[in-house]
Amino acid sequence: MSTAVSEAVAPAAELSADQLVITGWTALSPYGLDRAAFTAGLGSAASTAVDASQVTGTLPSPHACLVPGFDIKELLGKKGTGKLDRLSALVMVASDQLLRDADGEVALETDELTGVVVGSSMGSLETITEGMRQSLTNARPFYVDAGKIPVGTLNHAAGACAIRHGLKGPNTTLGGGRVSGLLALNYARRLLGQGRASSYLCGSAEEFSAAHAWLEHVAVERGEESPLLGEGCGMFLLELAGRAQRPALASVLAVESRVDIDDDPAAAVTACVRQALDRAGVRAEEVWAACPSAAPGRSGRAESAALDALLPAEALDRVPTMAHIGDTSAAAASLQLAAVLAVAERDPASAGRIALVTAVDRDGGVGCAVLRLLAPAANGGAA
Amino acid sequence: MTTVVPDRLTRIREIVAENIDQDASELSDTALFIDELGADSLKLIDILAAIEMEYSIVIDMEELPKMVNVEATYQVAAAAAGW
Repeated sequence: MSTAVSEAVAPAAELSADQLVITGWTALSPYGLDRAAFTAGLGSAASTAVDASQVTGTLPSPHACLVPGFDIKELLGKKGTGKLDRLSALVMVASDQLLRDADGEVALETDELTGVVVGSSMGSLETITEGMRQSLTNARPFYVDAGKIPVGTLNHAAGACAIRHGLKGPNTTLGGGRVSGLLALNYARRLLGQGRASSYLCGSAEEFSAAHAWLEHVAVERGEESPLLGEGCGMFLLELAGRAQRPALASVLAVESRVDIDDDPAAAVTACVRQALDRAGVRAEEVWAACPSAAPGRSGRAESAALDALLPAEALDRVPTMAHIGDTSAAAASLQLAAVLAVAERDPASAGRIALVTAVDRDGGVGCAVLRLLAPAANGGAA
Repeated sequence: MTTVVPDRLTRIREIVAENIDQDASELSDTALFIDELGADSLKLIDILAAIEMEYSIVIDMEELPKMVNVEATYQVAAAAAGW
């Protein structure tokens, strides 16, 4: 049977065996606890800001975009979660959603080389700052909550995720601000390409906390307002097309990153996008959907201006803005990637088209990923 | 004076429960942390540190192997604090 939809689908068989593909995704976000809530929320374009000060105590600004109903003990069980930080919990719940089915059974075969890479800004800031506060204010410097010391390490989320699922491949944490999600994607791409890993859980995450809010408040650039902060985790299952266990949702054509050393973020984004498109072998006019980070402040405005000048206007309108979930910092690029895949799933015309995700960070990091969207996920990806 | 010992024991039971993810109300004073409750040596250090912080005392790390259950942990704390 030949239909318009099936003709538009680029079958996975056309992919070379060593092509990196995304075969599953999930997103915990201020829209909700799973991928379905994220997709529905994106479409609704409603603000997700709530009064977070009721949960965290005094904040520089009471509003933040929290993952609703994120009860760690309820989602992960009581055992081993007493001291667990919110960041690790977000990553662990996301990994559960990708690797287990609705009944909690293993949904994907992993092996000795299944890797984990998690992008983060600074780990769980709340855990780190609370430990520091205890050490400085208690009667002796070692009167600290020792159970939270391992939790407060930068790589706890990736490690806890691997232990939970018995994943023994490369385990990595990358810190790159808003670019973290793309740096993680590129890292996984390289290791898969070199045969160091057989498949990858790849994502990035950010927790909201009072510590995060106060740090952002003092770090904001002169003349800018404190950003509305968000939190969440976007996570992907990455495989090589030749041995993918699940249908490919998108192939990763190129991931580029650079540092804006000239304090000219628009020029850095432009150069990065051009280089990524060049590597991917596609023209700017071919970009069907693009999702910028919508970062607050000067870097975000520069990113938007650069993409406006480079890409077709309709491509920039196709993915709803990420502004409704706040500045999700290290989670941002992964949630943008998730948004692109969510839009593609709902639009059969997406098959075979080019999508682009960019990220900028006020510290100078710039990144760009170019994807080719494949078939809408009739049965692929996470539930 | 007669209520101090039970109060301290209750608090130590709570600290243990908190650090090994158990309900304090269900925690027996004689259940072995490692063999019966699934704790590891890292958890014992967490318990030791939490008790030190609670009572502003210092417990020698060499006492750690003696802390096999709530009862023994109380004895170790009592010796360190001079209760």
